[in-house]
Amino acid sequence: VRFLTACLERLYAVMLWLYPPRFRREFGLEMRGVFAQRWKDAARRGNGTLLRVVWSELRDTPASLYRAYRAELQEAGMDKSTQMVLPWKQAALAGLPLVLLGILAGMQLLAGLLGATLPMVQMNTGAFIGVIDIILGIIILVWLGAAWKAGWPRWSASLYGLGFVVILLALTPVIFLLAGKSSNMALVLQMYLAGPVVLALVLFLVARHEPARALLTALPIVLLLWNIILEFTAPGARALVGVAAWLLAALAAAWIARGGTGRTSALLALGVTALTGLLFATARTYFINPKDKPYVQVGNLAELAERWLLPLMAISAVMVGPALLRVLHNAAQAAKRKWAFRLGLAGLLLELAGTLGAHLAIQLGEFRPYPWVTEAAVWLSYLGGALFVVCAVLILTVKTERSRQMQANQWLAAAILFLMPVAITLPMAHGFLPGTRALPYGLTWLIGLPVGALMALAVAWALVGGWALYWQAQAEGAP
Amino acid sequence: MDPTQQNPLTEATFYIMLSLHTGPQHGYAILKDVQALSENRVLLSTGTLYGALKRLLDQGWIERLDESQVTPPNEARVDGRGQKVYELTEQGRRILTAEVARLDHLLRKARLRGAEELL
Repeated sequence: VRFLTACLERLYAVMLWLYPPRFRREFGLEMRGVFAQRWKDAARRGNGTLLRVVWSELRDTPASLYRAYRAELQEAGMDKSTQMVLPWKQAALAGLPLVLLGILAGMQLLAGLLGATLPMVQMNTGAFIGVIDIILGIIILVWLGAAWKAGWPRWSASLYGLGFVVILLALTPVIFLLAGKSSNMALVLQMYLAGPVVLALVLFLVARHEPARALLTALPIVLLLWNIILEFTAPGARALVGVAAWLLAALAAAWIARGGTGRTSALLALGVTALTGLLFATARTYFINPKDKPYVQVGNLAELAERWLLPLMAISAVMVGPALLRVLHNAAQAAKRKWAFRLGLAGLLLELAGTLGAHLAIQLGEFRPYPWVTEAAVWLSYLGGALFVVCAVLILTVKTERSRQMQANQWLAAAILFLMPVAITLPMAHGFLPGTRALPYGLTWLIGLPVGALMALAVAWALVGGWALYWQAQAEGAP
Repeated sequence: MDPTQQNPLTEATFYIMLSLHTGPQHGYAILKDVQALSENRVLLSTGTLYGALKRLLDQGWIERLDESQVTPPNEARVDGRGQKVYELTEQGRRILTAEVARLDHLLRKARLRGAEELL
């Protein structure tokens, strides 16, 4: 029993590392003591009690962890230092991971110019991954570990999204191995359901407590989303715009991290999104990979606009969705029609469910050529959209004391919120099939996620972020 | 803050505060006391207990002391860890009193309506 007690105590000590560092430092030693005492007492009473102790500890751990992290985040949110201006040195740390990604894109460019190829390894899924990308993934995870130890300072937010993508991709070969024959189905579920939902949850928790962190988390994800349109682009052009976009994002991240909150940060993040999209759309339209030229034509201005504007609508939702929902929420509150706001949110949720369902149907091979599953899912998303429009109209047509400018802003917010999911659903309804692995080059492998999943993620993000702002507004008693 | 305006306490929080009502206790003693007070219905895990203690500390309802501050030196634990005890603050005591009064009020109302069979 003494040996077992020692082993279990050690195991418990390891488990304590799952708790937030501050909590662990404050209570870790005591918790170990209590656990050991509890275990010794139980040992005296027999095996049944021992099992009950182990079971009660195991059963309660996830809930205890959740509560500990929630409290930690709430503290961070309440901490007035979140409003503080950081010194440039610390703020620069927020941009550093993005600089690293820019350097990697630069290495691809250099390798291309020198006619060399960077080392690659083949995974069990059949896909190839660059060795440097793997090293970068490890660096990001270690860095996240350091941020965790430091108590998640603001600069670390630019690592959250990247860390999530690295973990998601690292899990892919494991899932492939475990799922055996059903690996395709498992991977689709991972990318379409588990991935977006977990990331939406992460973003929700971040956004709820500090808008600046939400922007920092979203920024690298937005850039990865844009990478999708670079398929068929010449490798040199792709790497060049990649370097420019990552460095630009790094500067923006440092600025946002330094300033904390504020409209300037949001505008800056949106500006980087728009500019990155324009760069990437230009590269994709005018600089076609010579290998692909036989079946892909150099485009024109109209194609550039199409490539840029439609995804811009969806991708910028990652940035502006929560703010737009907050505008609508405030309008609903002023009009005393909060129920309409909630119903409108339910409409957006229906749109999300429809979009996810349709993409799942496509991925699972139901799209031949237009089966009822996809059709039903698309109609579900239309129904959700219609519900949202009706609710927005119900909110915005109530006469309240609003300036003309404010009225215009509120209508615009509702219109963008509605158009964003439509931009996602419409191409699909007309037979557009999202590519599954469109990004074989450079660091862009990191994304690897299907277009649909990412677009659905954008909607999910807008929704949960909106809810976060909604709650926050309620808590603040905002007018 | 007016203690009567406080939201109802959860069962675990109520028992933890009730356990501290008689005097300062260390973590394991609270755990055992809660189990005894609730007649084995509330079995707190270590994580849940310390999560609740942290919340109570943050709210200022309890305070944390070194065991040596409340225990004579010859009785103090010597294993070098967990030598902390928890004590109700004045505010915590007021909250607990208000909660007991609230529960008592509810019971009295139930009795007034002749709901003895429910009790």
